[in-house]
Amino acid sequence: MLFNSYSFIFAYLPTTLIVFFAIGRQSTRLASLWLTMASLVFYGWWNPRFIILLMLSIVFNFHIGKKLVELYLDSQIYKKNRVLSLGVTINLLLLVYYKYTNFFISNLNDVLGTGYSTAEIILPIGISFFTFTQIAFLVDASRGLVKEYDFVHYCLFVTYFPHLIAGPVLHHKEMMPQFADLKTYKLNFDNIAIGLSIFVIGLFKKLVLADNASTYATPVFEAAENGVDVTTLEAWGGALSYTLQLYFDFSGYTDMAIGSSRMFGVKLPINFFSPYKATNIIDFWRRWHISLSRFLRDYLYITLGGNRRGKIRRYINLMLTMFLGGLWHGANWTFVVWGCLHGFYLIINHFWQSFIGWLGLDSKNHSIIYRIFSRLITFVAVVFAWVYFRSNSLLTANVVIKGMLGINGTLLPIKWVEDSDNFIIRWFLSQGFRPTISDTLFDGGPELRLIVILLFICLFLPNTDQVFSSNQLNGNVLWIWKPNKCWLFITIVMGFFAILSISDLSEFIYFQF
Amino acid sequence: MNTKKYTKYCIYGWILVLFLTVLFNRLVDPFWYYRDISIDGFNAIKTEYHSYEDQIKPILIKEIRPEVLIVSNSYLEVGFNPLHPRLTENGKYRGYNYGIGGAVWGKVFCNVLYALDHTALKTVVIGIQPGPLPLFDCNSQNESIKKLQQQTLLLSFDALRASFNTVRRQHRTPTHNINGMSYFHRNNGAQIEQVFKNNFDRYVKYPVVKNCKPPDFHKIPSWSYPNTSIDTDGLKKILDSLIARNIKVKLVVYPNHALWMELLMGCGDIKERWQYLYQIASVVDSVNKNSGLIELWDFQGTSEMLTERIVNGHVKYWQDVGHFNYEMGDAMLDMIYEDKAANFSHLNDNFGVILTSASIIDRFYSFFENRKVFLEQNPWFLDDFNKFVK
Repeated sequence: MLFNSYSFIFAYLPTTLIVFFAIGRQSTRLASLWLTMASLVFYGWWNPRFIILLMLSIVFNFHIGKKLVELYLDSQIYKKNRVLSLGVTINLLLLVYYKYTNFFISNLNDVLGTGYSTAEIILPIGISFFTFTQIAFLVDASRGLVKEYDFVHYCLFVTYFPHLIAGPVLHHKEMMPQFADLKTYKLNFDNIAIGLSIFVIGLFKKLVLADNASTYATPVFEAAENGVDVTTLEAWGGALSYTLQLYFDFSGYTDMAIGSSRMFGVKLPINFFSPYKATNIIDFWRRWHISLSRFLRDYLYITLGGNRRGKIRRYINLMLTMFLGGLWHGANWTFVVWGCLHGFYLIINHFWQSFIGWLGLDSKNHSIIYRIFSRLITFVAVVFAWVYFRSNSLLTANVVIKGMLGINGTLLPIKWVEDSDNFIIRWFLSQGFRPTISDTLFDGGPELRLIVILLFICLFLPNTDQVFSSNQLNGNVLWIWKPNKCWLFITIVMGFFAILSISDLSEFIYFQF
Repeated sequence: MNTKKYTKYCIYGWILVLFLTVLFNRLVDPFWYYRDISIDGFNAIKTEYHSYEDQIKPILIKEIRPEVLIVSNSYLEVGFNPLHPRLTENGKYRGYNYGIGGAVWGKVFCNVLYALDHTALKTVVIGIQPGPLPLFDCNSQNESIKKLQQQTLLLSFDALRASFNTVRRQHRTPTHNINGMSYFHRNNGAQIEQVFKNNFDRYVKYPVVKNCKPPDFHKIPSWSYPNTSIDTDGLKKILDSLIARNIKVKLVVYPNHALWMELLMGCGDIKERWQYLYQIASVVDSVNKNSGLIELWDFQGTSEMLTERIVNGHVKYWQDVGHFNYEMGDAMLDMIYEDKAANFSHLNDNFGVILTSASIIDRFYSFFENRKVFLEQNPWFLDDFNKFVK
């Protein structure tokens, strides 16, 4: 089921919510059970047969986790490590089977010239998320960090519908206590109002902003897939549109997850904090898909040794972490290249910081021009990397990259050329830019306007977390959410526009991961 | 305001605005789907219909189930009246124009198959361009048709925008009639020369300037059979499907204004069109097998309508180089059904003929001979051509 569907908004969510609180008045355990069952329905809506897989995974991991806690308490380190290895390996095997089997076979065929046919494997939706969530649970259980292991709560922790399909990647220690808290099961209008408003913002981001941006991004990448050499404006238009689409799509989804969860009285961790405001790549990864970054840092980078074994080893660990982070997104070399590019960016960033430190310059207090330049260069680097993330093959990505670099030439939209009174156009023409016989994939004015508006929102407006933060020092800041007429109006209008856009039903980008 | 009130007002607010939206869209009916409320000055002229015809026409033909259908791009959508008495056997059958602006062959192909599944067809007129007519995968198109549901018509941003624009633009001239026929730029006769000029400019100036000269009309080219074959599997599939259900098929090759034809010949291969048509006619012959159910009609030539002089305010038959008015369309349909254009008895016999693989060579020669005669007798024509191509 999609958050941005009529069935979710008008049937599933209100029903689940009403029944949850109605049951919660009688029995919190039954309410947990209800929410678990409802979450399984949410999951099974897409393909019911994978509910069994999900439940098997939950039962297996719960028992392994319980065993790990016992072994930790008995200080049986050797046995504990073996059980942990078994648990993690089986989780990874499941993931590898569903996600990487065909990738492995096709690469084997390419390298060895063999002709093994690929298997028909349907990727269970959300498998990357629920596998990682549970691996983290097992690792923490082996470290003695798991305090509560009630089976119903564990089931709910894994299946909880707001995060099940596309995150945020949850940590049991921030979820289990909330499921155990009696307050969670009591209807609280503060939570309902805040949750509803966050949900509506997410819905608006996805349906009105992201889906509009996709109308400009998709044709460019599809053209490149079909061997069309996209030209400079087309390539930049497509790459920027996708950059913005991805952010509003995924952060919109996260807002909907956080908002719907908040209505149930459960707070989910933030996943985005204005990532395109980042002034360097390290900063970017503190703002983009925060829950995944946290997972990769805590369970991969630090496990590999982090920065404790010298600079060279740190760079290797960074590259390895980002390589695996890329591969986690999908079985395609484009994701590997995307991950490695970010690994490379991070190494350069760390190297640069060391260099600045070596020069004795203060890395915190830079001039505004330096900060603007840093933000710009970070953004451009991210945009180039997103091209690989979006493309279905390295070939496609390279066509778009070539276009962005001007190698495929530059065409102007015909409607610009016909407006030959415009001095900018006259200048373009005088520089030898060719007009096209028909409209280019770059739509000119409307596309440019949308990109500028979305960039403005990304770069200059507060993010959802800031708007709904209760920790703001100045409570009178205009944009801080309050239950007043102004926010009521904004929420109704955003909800209205979003609901009217539901008819063009579109999936979330992160569903494929 | 406390959070309880805030929540309550939010929900009431949404219910109210959504209800009003549904009501407004239902009343205005901008996509001409419900067809039950028509109020002059409010919603009688469906100014937004053309933007959504691609989605709405398939749903409508499913509801209306016409027996006579015109399937094409905008050329026949503009030019052919689906209620033409010959076409509908004097109103015995229900006709509908399923032309879609900008429809390439793949779309026409899928639309024919869709119509076959969802209507009670007796006769279908299909517009084609001389060229490859391959098979297409219609799944994505069928999926997009399925997606259009009641909520899209009543509860979508597109519907609301269309409703507002419909009410706001009632002073405009109609773009379509209720039977799916488009008027396009019909009422733009005062600027028709400029429209032609723009058509020519787009062809000869962008992206590089082409030097196109009409082939010397004194020389009649000699016929040659095509060296390479084009993919006509799509055409064969739809013809096989139609004939299996005993449906009469009129394939109409889109005619162009003769000036445009000169340009196409002057910029490209003079024989290409005829070689494509030969292969299309061969497919028709092979499927037809003397059943007489399928006819391939070609109207290109130098008749009065095809060579009409393009002077602002005096153009009767053309809207641009490819879109012709229904006055010419009526004559074409008269020719197709009565072997003569009843109101155009003065037209010469090269106005419209049935093509077969055997007759096409004669047609080829008669085309160039008629052209030679016409250009000799009408020197203004090439002057006009040079004016447009300049």
